[in-house]
Amino acid sequence: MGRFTVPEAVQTLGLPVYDPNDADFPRKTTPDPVQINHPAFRKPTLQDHVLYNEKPSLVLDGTDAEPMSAGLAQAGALLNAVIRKGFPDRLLKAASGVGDLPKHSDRLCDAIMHAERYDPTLEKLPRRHDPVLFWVVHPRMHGTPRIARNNILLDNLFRYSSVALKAQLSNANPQLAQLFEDFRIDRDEPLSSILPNGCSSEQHGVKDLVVRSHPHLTIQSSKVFSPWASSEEVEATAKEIVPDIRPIDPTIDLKSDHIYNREAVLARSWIPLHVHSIMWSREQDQKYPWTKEQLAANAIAHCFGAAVAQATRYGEVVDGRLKRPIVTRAVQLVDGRLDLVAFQLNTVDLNNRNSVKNIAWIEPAQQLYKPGPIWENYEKVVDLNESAFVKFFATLLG
Amino acid sequence: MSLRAVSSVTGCGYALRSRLASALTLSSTEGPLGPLGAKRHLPKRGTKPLPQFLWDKKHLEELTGGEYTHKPLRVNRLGGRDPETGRKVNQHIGGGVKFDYFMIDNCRRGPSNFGAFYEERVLEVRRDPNRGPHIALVAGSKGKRWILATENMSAGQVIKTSQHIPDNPVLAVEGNAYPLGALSPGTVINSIEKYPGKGGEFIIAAGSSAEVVRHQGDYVVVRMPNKHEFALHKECMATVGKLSHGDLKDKIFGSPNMHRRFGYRPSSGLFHKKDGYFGRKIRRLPPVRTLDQPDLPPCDKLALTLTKTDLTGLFGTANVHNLLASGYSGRDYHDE
Repeated sequence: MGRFTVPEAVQTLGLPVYDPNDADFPRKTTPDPVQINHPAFRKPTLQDHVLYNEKPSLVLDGTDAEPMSAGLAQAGALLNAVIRKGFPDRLLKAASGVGDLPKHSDRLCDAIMHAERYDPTLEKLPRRHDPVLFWVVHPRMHGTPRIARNNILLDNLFRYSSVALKAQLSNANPQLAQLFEDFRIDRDEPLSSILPNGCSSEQHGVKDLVVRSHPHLTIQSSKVFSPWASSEEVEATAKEIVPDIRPIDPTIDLKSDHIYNREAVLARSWIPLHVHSIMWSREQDQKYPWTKEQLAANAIAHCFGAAVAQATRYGEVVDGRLKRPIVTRAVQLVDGRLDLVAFQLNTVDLNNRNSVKNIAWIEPAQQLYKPGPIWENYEKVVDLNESAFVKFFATLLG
Repeated sequence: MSLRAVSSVTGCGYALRSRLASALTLSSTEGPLGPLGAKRHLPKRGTKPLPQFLWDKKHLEELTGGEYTHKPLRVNRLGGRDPETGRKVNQHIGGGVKFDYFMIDNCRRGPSNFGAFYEERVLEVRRDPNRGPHIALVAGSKGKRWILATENMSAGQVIKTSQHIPDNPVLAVEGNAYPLGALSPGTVINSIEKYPGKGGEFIIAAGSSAEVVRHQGDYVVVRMPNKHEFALHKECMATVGKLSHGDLKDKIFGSPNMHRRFGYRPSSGLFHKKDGYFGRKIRRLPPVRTLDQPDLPPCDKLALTLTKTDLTGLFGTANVHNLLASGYSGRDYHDE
């Protein structure tokens, strides 16, 4: 018997024809998907983000940063900056008196023990990883996370510097009292800065440079801080050569992102203030810790971000040129080591190697004390190094 | 009736045995003399390599979105099982510590014009628990990636890649990558592409290396460590030098537990009688194999829905309409 076909006469009538062999006869096995055109039922896309921008920028993100492959040289090449290792002698001399104060080392030990031992926080700590006995599965311990400890320590060091030392040294140095009295401190506020056409590379072309971080302490003041380098020294940097890290491109560790703020984001942005310093801490990955060079480069980059945020918040940049040099300071605490940075922003044209350069002073990896492993109780401060605190104090003085 | 009895009747035992053997279904392992013949001239059993199901490639693609990343990843492992059938394909693999997986970029591409190179600096050389050779993190203008490290590669070294084939062979530098057509005979190479643009597929084991033998028109003959020779296209890229970690074969785990930590499962331990396939065989080297066309990709598997007629499984004269048994006729019906 031939296969049944619908006669033409029936087809011309336009009647619906159902095939009994069809899986969806007489009722559909799967219901039709409900189409509701409402934003609540639409999956949000990247373009729906509030901070979405069509043109991507190169982002240096503090929370999710890649370490700078070439270290300090890459930071200099990316930021058009000359790196000076060591702070100016005048600052170290001005800060050197702290060591003579009574019970100074006891106070430092107290500040450290407050962070390492006395804090009652009980959070789940990351699992201990032993690189030699890699198969051992250690139990999860509870205690104060490393970042929380370091943040407490930064708070204590700054408080000790600003309150106790100010009270003790202001008689000998009245300017010191004035310096600290106007500080506005914000904790855990976001910081984002954008430099239009800030970087150029073979791979990405010319793109905006965005630096964003989440420092624990953002210290601002209503006073304008004088630059560390004089105008003659700044002019002399035009002849200096920025490190060349070829074949590495300075932008390879930056992330291309469409989501960023087009304006600077700073704490207390509605008040006319000037950023003095930012302080934050980092927790090293147990398996892939950053080297001292990479940490130092990271500190310089974030200090630069704070300087650009200050430069762009009140229109200090006019027609791509900076009205006056801006200096900011940064303190990064990682595993008991302080990376102390001061960055003087002299130019926002980071691609012009013939112009004046920015200047970064750095005291890298100043070991304040030797912390213990996070899974053990820290009973006593080990290897306290007071000279690291002297340099920390010098950073705040400058 | 046994074979011996028949042969005594016909007087031609060998001819009868061979006819009987051909009439029977012969397995591929049997020789011309059947199962009773010698096996020493046959190809070695198990020489065609099995696919290695070590890491779940689908999971890797989910984690990375199909793109390359130099960051360490946690990829699911398959334990030697086929991801589609779930059956064990590779023996003695399973368990072990969950090591971080580093994606290795096998594709070394560079500019093809004269005098131009793509330069990269070696940032770090480290061990990789997932493979034998050490791996090197290199950074260039296009970003960072992991490659297989050659023997003397160290941090701070600058390596170059070029696809230019000059008239005269280049002075090969260890760690650099050149097309085969640019290398002089006698150059020690590794990570050789089978076909241009496909990434390194030959010589990826620790301490291994191949040698450029001669140039033959558009092809270059390369000798592998087992002395087999292949004629590869002159545009195939290769890295100069021997691969690192050559002393891996001399290292011992130290204990059965350490074997297990690295993901190796024990052998059965039972006695297995050896047959003619075992033992060293001295064979002639095969002729030079020319790799000119890549293997065709496997056909897409079709998902078929069988019709009712197919589902009956009937064929031939039994494949009739199912209503005929109810009294319907196979002839056409005429309208009255």
